[in-house]
Amino acid sequence: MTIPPDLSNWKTQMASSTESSQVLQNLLDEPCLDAAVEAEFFSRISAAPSSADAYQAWELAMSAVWSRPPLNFNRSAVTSGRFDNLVRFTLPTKVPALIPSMDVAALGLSIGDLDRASIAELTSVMDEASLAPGVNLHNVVWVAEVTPEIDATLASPGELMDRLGLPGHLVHLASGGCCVELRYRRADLPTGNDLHVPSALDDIDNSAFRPETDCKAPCGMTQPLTAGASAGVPEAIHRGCIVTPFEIKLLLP
Amino acid sequence: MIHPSEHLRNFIARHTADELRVWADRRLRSQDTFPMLYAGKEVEKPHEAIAAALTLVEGELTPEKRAALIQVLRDVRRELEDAFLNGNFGPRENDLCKSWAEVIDLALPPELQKEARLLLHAALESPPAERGFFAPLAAAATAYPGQQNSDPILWTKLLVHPETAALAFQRLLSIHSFDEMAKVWADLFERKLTRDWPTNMRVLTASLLRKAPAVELAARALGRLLRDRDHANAAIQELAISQNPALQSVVSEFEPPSPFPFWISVIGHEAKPKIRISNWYLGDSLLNPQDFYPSKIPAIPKGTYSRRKYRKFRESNPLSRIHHNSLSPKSEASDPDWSRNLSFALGEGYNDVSELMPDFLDDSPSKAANVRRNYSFAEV
Repeated sequence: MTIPPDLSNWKTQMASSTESSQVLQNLLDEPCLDAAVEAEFFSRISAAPSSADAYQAWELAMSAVWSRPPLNFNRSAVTSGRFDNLVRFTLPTKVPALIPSMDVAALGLSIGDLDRASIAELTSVMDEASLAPGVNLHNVVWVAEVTPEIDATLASPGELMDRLGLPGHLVHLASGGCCVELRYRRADLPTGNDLHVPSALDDIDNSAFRPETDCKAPCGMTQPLTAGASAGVPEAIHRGCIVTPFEIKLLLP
Repeated sequence: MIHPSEHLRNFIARHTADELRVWADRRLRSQDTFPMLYAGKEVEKPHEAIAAALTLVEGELTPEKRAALIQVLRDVRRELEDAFLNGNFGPRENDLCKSWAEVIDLALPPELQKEARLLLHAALESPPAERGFFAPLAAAATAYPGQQNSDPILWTKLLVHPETAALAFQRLLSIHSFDEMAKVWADLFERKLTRDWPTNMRVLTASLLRKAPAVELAARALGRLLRDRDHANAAIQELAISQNPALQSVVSEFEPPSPFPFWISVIGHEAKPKIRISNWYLGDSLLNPQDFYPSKIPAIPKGTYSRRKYRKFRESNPLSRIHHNSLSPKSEASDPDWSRNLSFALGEGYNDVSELMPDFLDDSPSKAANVRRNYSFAEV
C-alpha cells in the first residue's frame, strides 16, 4: 500500500509508537490489495477527525476497516488440500460466547469464576462444552492448521502461544491460567464462508503479524512474539459462523 | 486473572480521568464488540476493558483515574437501583445490569463490594419481568471471598431461585465450613440435587465430590446419579477422580434398584423395602407412576399450574399424593414471576421462601416439622 500525501500527519503519528509503527509497516508491506479497497481505506481515514497521537491514529485505522461495510477478506482463498483440520486457542472467559447453548450459569459458574476456576473445575466445564454445538461469531476468526508440528508443540504451550503471536494468551499461561483449544474441520464451515489468506487490513488491530508479500501464497504465516520469523506457523482467516462439531480441550500451563 | 494488554495500558496512560469517565460510561452502555485493548485475535465485550483497567496497579492507574472508573460504576448502580424500585427496568437496563455485573465479577473492586450486595437486594425486593440479568448480578455480589458465612437469608433465596440455585450451591461449596452449611441446608440441597437440577446434576456432583468433605451429602447425590442410567458411568468416573474412600463405600454397598419405584413395592408384593445405604434411597423416583398404572393413578393436569388448581387436584385424588414429588420444575423456570410461583413449585406448605430458612433462624417448631414432613416419603 502507498500512503497518500494528504495522510502524512497520520503516517507520522502511526510511526511514533512501537505497536502502531509495526501495524503501519504491515500496511506498507501489503502488496496484494485491490486499488479500490486501498482507496476506500484511506478515504475513510481522511474523512475522520484528525488524530492526536499514535493510538488515536491506530484507532482511526481500525475504525476505517471495521465500519460498514468492513474491508476484511480481500486476499485469495486458501488453497484446497490445506487446512483440512483447524485449531484456535482462546481464553476460558470467552467460552460462554463461543458455546452459547451451554448455560454456564446453570453449571453454577459466572464469567469471573471461569477466570478464577481451578483446572478441575474448568475440566468439568470443558466436558460440558464438548457436548454442545459451537458458535464462532467473531468478525474475523483466525485459525491455524493442525499439523504434526503443532501437535508436538502443544506440550510447550508457552512456546506455541509465542509462535502464534498471542501475547494475552502467553501472559495468561505464564501466570498459571489455562487456555482453551478448539478444533474443527474446514469442511464443516458453512458454504460461502471459506478460508482466506489474511491481509494487513484483516489484522489491523494486531501488531504481531507480517503480511505475505507473495500474492499467490497458499496461506498466511504468524509472526512470533520473540522467536524468529522462521518459527511462524501457517494461519488463515474465516468469517464468524456456526461450526459444529467442536472439539474442545483444556491447554494446561 | 485478567491481564491488561500493552495497548490498554497506553490507552489509560494517555487519557485524563475525565476522559476515562466518559469512555467507561460509553463502554458500559454499548453492545458492540471492540476487537482492541485486550488480547490479540480475540474479541472483547466493550465492558471487559473496564474490568481489565481496574486490575492495573497503582503506578499504571492513578488514584484519580481509578476513582473516575469507580464513580461511573457507582452512578450506573444508582441508576439500576432506581429502575428496580420504580418498576421501569426494561431491556436496556437488563443489558446494562449484565455488563455492570460482569465488570464487578471480573475485577472485584473492593470499593463496590457493599454496593453490589445492595443492588442484589434491590433486585430481589422488586423483581422485574426482564430475565437474564439476575444470575450475573448474583454472581457479582457473591463473588467476593468470605461472604458465604454471612446473610443466610440471602443465600437461601439464591438457593431456591431457579436462575441462581446452581451458582449459590457452587459458591457455598467453596467454603471450608461446608460441612456445617450442609447440615443447615441438608434438606434443601438434597431436594435441589435430586430433583430440581437433573440436567446439571453430573457437573454439580463432580464439584461436590472434588470440593466438599461433606460425605453424607455427596453420598446422597452420588447414589442418585448411580440410579440414573444416563449418569451412572459419569458418577463412577467422578468418584474415581475424587478418590474419597468414604464415598467408595457407597458404590460397594450400592445395589441397582428395582425397575419399579419404591411405592409400588410397598403397595404391591414387597411389604418391607430394603434399605441399603440410608433413607435417601427411599426418595422420590425418577420413574413416573403413570408408566405403570395409567388407569388408576390420575395424571397431574397439564398446563400452567395454580396453587388452587393443584390443591383441588390433590384433594380429589388422594392416590396422586404418591407422585407429589414428580412435579416438573419447568413451570417454575418458565414463569417470569418466579417469586410468586416459588411456593407452589416447592410444594404445599411453603407460603414464601422464609419457610425454607434453616431451623436455627426459625422460632416456630411447627415450621421445621412442616419442612421435614414435606421431604419425608414415609408420611405421604
